[in-house]
Amino acid sequence: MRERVVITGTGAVSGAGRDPASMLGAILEGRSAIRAIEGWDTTGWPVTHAAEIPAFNARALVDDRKLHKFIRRTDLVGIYAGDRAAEAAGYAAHRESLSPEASAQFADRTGIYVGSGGGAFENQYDYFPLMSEAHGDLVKFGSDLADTVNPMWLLRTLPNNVLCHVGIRNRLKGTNACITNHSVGGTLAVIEALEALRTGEADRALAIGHDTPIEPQNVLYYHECGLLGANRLRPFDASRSGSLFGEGAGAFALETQTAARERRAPVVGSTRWASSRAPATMSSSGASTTTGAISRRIRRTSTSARTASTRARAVAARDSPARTAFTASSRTSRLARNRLGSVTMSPIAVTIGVDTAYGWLLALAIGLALGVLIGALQGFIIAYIGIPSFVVTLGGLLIFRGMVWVISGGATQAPNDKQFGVMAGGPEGSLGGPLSWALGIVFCVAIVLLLVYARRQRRRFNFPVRPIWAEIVIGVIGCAVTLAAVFVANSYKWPQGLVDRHLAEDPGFHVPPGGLDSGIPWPIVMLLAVTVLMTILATRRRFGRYVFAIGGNPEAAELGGINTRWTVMKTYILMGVLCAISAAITSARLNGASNDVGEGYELYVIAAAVIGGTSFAGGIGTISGAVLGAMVMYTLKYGLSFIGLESPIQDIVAGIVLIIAVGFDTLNRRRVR
Amino acid sequence: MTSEQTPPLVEMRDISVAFGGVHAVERATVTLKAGEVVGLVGGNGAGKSTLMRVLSGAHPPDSGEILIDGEKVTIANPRDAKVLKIETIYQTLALADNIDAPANLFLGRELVSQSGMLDDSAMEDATRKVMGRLNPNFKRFKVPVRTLSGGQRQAVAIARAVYFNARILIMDEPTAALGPAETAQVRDLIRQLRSEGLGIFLVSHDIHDVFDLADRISVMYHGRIVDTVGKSDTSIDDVLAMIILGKPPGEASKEELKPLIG
Repeated sequence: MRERVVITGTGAVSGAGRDPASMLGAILEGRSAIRAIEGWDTTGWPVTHAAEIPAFNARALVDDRKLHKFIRRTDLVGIYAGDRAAEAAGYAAHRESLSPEASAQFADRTGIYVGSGGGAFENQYDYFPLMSEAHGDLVKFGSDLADTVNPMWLLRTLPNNVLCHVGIRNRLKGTNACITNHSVGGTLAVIEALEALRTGEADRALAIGHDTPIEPQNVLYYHECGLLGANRLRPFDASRSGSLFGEGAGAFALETQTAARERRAPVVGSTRWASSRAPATMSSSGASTTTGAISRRIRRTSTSARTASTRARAVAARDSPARTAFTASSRTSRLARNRLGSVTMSPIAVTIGVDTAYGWLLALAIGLALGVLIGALQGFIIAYIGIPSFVVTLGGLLIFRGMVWVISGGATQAPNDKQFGVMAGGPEGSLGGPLSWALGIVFCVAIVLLLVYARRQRRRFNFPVRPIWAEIVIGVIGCAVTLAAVFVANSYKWPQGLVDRHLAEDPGFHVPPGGLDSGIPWPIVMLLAVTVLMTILATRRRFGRYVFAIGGNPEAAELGGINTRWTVMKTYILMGVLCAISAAITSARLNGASNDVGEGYELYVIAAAVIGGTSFAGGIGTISGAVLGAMVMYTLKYGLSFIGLESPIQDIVAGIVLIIAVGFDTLNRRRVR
Repeated sequence: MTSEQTPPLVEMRDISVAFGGVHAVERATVTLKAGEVVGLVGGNGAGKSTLMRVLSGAHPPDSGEILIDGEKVTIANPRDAKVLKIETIYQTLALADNIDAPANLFLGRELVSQSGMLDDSAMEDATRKVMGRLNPNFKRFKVPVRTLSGGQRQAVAIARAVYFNARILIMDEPTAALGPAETAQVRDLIRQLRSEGLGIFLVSHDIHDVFDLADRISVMYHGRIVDTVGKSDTSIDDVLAMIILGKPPGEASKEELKPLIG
């Protein structure tokens, strides 16, 4: 029996804020933490900007004068984060309510795990001059490293300062460990803490990550992976598009669900920990991939973290806190380009290593083909063998997710091919101004043509037609709405930082006065295309007519001479393709794929369709209704998040809205009938 | 009948259908000529509807053969039946309630434009024409048939059967849900179609209906055909006796007939 692990408290500090909520806020608002360095001695560094904690005040972080005398700044942030998490989890308050024996027991069953770098702050910048000298020649950079970086850096300081002091300050006497492991110390601390809870060594444990050093070989590795900005190996500040370093720390108070319930601890999130193999995976796969994998596993670290991507980034920021290379710019370098074309099929992940410019298209095509295959398999079982669809698709969900887990070993496949990022939207994944206008005009022409065609059709058989003024009003309104939407999309400009980076890479990059229009994002274009195609399929083609007839009365459809089984199977094939498309967009937006992407979406999908007027009984519903339903669900989801409601409240509101929306619809239908 | 030179339009020979261990139809043989109405009567569960479902392709027979114009055919599904110009008006009407009348009328045989798009206007036009003949008051072409009255729904089902120039028409209780005026309409329609040369199987509970319309009457009892008699050679009482006793009048004893004739 696996014990579920919940998060009862969080703590964090970085250049972006002093708690998870404000850091997440910064991410959501796109606020940068990069500023001119104030508190560090930058003598000899080619760097003047970093994500430094602004107006660093040791006493404000840790109220213990004695500590300030012999503990470094990097350790103080770790202590601060750990203290905050312990405080949020209510350790002290709970202990005070206990008898002396129970209190001692509580302390003994509370562990602490810290990913620590050992405070070798200066050493990390030792190789900066080498970077400049190497002029992007990695071989030269690598060969010079050995002479420059002091291999004894770890011995210069005590690596377990944070472990000791947080433990003492919060009376955590249980199992503990200090991990100093490259840039994934924070991640490993979380893993070790989870493992301790899983094996029953502790009931709760604090997991802290701080001061995780980037050693030169890590930088080389990140560079290979395409995690570092720009296509040359260089620090951020050289032309503001290299690698950025920052400081910070983060902590989780983790606890078994049983223990948390017993002491009525506040639960702010839960982990998705289910496998003991992950630590092994860790050593075999790269640092960055594992960081991503773990970070995605830890859900709802912050109560307001809502989308998978922001969630992942928020945790990643916490996970690799002090002086970890933040990527201030594009994650893809020339070396890493085209190395990974990664598509997550929900539910199958494909990673293809192909060194061609069109590798991502191949990956996409294989993902879509896999969608066809899975849809066909499920459709065959449902239509020809006759197992209820709910059972087959639910079983399929478990099977294919499990397969993805086996294939990926639980690790996140990241990063994606840069070209694949087009499907993620954002300024670089949008049509741009002129093409957006062109698309808008195409839509307007289509509206007019459709109106003319419909009128001509009805004229052909002398059916009653709308008065001509009504047709014109409808056409004008349709076109106006379309063009207004394009105008709004075009009034979003490229952010200056992005423009600068493009200018740095290509001096001929043209920016018109007033800024570069973003335009309509590609995912929206794909949504429009899918909506139009599906509407045609549903209302203008035999297939759609048959699907509705089968939904209304399967026997009548069969007696009418429709090959109902083949039609049902085709429906599932179509669902497989649509699922593959949405999975591709999702993985593009996450810039990676993991086996739990899209978990829980099945319920949102049902809710969206039902809100959009689709009938559970079958035979009723429209494509545009389902799209609107999805918009309602997600507008609600994001909207509630932005006005600061916590996730449980969001869930409650979403559930109420679902019932009310469908209730209105039901009453309305009843009245009409 | 079998001695005639031209083969009958339909001949169903020794048809058997079993559901599990129950013989719904057992070695039943019926024939139908062009321009003839054959009434199929019997009590509940006698196998009338099942026998007709075999001919309409809804249920393939376990054994026996079907001949159309003297040639053996295989009817494995409703599509096969429609290719052979066999149309059926089911007791349940077999309408998809959620779509409109034209969509139901053309279900499975939609009119499409050259580009393969549904030509809804052409289908609506055709529906208007055929419904104008069957039920001139019908105006609700754009609403789901769920919202139509029983008679209107029946009209849609009948329109579907007659629109596609059927040669063989199976009508399973076509007037069960109708009022007197509509029933009269359907009777006129049956006579008209017969005069146009269609062969019609009429399944009905209403013995008067059958006597009024049918040329010959086949009586079914527990899955078997008791006898097939010409309308002019028999009486309502004889047919009733066969329905109830499952024996031709000649074979029934006086004691058995007594309570019936009274």
